[in-house]
Amino acid sequence: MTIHKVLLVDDEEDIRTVGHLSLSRVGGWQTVLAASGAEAVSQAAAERPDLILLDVMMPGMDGPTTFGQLRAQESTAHTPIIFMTAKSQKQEVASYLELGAVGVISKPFDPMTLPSEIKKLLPSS
Amino acid sequence: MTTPWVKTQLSKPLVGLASVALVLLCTLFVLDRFGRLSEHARVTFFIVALLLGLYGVVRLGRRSAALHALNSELERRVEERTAALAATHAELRESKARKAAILESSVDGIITLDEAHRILDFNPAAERLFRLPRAVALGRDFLSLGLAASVSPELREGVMWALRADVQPGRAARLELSSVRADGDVFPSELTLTRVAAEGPPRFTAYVRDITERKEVERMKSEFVSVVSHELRNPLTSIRGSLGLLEGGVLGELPSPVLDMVRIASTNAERLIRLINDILDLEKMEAGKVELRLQPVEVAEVVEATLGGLRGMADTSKVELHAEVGGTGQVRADRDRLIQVLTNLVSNAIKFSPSGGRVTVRALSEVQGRVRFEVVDQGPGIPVEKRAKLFGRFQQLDSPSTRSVGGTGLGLAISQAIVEQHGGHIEVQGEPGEGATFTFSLSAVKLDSSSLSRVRDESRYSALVVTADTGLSALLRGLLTREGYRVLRAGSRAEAEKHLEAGAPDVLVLEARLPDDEGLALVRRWREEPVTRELPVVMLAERVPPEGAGLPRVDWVKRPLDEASFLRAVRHAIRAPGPARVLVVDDEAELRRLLRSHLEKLGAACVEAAHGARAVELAREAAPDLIILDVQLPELDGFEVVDMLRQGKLRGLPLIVFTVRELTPAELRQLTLGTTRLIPKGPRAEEELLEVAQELLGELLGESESRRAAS
Repeated sequence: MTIHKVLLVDDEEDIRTVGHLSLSRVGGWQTVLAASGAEAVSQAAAERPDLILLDVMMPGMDGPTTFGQLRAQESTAHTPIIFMTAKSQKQEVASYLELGAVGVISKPFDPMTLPSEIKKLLPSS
Repeated sequence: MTTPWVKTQLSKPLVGLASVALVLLCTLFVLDRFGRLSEHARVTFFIVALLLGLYGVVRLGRRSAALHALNSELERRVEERTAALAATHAELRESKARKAAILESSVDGIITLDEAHRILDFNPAAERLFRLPRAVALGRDFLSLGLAASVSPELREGVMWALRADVQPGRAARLELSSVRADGDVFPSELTLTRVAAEGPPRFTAYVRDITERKEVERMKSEFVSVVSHELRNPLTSIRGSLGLLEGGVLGELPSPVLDMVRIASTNAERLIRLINDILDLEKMEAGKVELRLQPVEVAEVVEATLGGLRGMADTSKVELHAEVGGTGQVRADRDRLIQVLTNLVSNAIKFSPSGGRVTVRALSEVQGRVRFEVVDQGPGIPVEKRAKLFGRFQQLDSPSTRSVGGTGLGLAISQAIVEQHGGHIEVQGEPGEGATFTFSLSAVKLDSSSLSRVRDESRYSALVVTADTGLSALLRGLLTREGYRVLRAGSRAEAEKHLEAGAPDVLVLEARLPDDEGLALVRRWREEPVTRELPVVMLAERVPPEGAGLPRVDWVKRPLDEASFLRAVRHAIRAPGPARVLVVDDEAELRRLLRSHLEKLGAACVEAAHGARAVELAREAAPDLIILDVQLPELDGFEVVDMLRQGKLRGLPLIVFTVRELTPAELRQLTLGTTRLIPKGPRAEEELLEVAQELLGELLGESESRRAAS
């Protein structure tokens, strides 16, 4: 599949900044940002991204809960979602895949290779 | 006992002599009275009687002396025994005092119970622990104190099992549960139960320890690890990210001195990340939180994968990598973790090798069914005095290149932990100046020499699914493929017949209504053809038509579909006719016999295997409807049996794992065939086993029962 627009969701501003640069400058994608789960749900409906990068541990609505709301919303019910997590236990990764995420990227990520890692996780068209 | 014996020994000959002398005197008197004796004879008689008398007196004297000696010996022995007895009494008193002191001063509650679990003794620690005076505790039911209401039925069962009347003395059972104090306060406790080794009715000792603190520490440690993981990784994501973007020139070209500084910062950020990962890894490993995914792993492939990942590093250091792994077959290991260990050892070896040196990875089969791995380098070697510390945390040997590679000093500690979790141990050998050799060994996957080959069993049952409903068709394909069937699909009668021309499948799954025909009529027609005459059919219908019931080799499954009963129907349609067949695999003959007799009462036929290799053989020959499998088996163990059966057409077979071994969730996943149940061996386990077996065999038992009743 081809990506034009990515929504990056993370509660830490610095990570949003770094991620934004990586996705836009290295990946060449249009990038929109959200700082919380609630913001992610509304941004996703408004922006219709091709892909959502979703942090797991966020105050308020965490990643998996946000995931559920995105799936429940018609416009984002089928948007591919990749989780980003600072934990990297195998069971945890497996549980996100079971939820229906297309992949999991562990933090800290390398901004120079993040876009190619994302492409590897997406089904090739 | 001695005195009567002496008397008897003395009196026997004396009474004899006296009688002879008396008889002689009487004879002399009688003969003399009748005047028959001459003077000479009279004198002779008299002298003989006198001599006999004298002899008797002398013997008597000697015997008296012996008696005296015996008497004094006896007195000496009595004195000795009295002294010994006194000493024993003293020892007993002392031992009793010591035991009392232990009971009094122990920090663990120590409680003695009778066979009905009533409290017979209650030490001061138990009084403090349960906030209950001894006098009140005595006679109370221990279970009402020891086990809080929240304790799970399984743990409760475990306690009852440890307190059963026929338990072996000296075998202790340790359980972690919750106990309740007299005031209702519940606390986490560790309970150790053991039967007292003594004659008479069974007595048990219960040691109770309050583990509130330990639990709290465990919780804090685990929470700390989790927090560290998150709290350190997030800032590192920003640091590494910014440096990476600068270094990568995303924000424009940097002047060379600035780029150098950015690289230093970036390299060290990477090092910090590795360090955190290693610490967390080691913490998890030591807390036993890492579950190994054990499976047969090809030794040659793992070594190749390891070396492949390190070629770049070796080339940079101008070190040659070399593998010697001929014919070592497979080991039972977690593949990723094994590669982690080998990578660590080989990368260390590269670091310490001189330029132009060689690092060799060797794998050798050992006689005890293990495979030994060796990583050999030509570096400076490791002095004996440093070897012991080598596997500790943050241990690094001085090497010109160590620091530059940025080792965390945790690699060997992690490797050791991984190998130990696999049941092995890493050692290091080699004299200084002669290079170092790191060695560890793992269990080889055992091979059966005879009929059982490790050739992959790719056999599959084939199922032809005929339905026009594409959703149903996809669902059935998913279900059947998961159970190991090769699935062919047809959307109409015409398509189905095309498949059938190519050969009959093992089973036909047919929707009762097709667009171009009606299922039942179709089956009747196909029954006329030689290829499909015996073909088992599973019909899917909302209701069973009256004319459909009783058709031979046709099973009906009602829609909407219940997955379990559908799969059972397919399995039963394919199976060779006859009563339910159960394969019982256990190395205890007694247990096999017991299960067999129970199962036969239910109407099942049993085959038994005492070891894993035989189990695989029998499973393939006898096509059982259910396997009851112990895990710890000679030849192949339960894991290997399941591994082998899962490759072929038996992978959908119902399985009951019946074992004393505690299985982790990962192990349990490995031990799965079709519907799989775990029943831990224990009290009343056989009852449960039979219930589950009945449930899994379902109507197969009913059939054989009714058949037996009819015959």
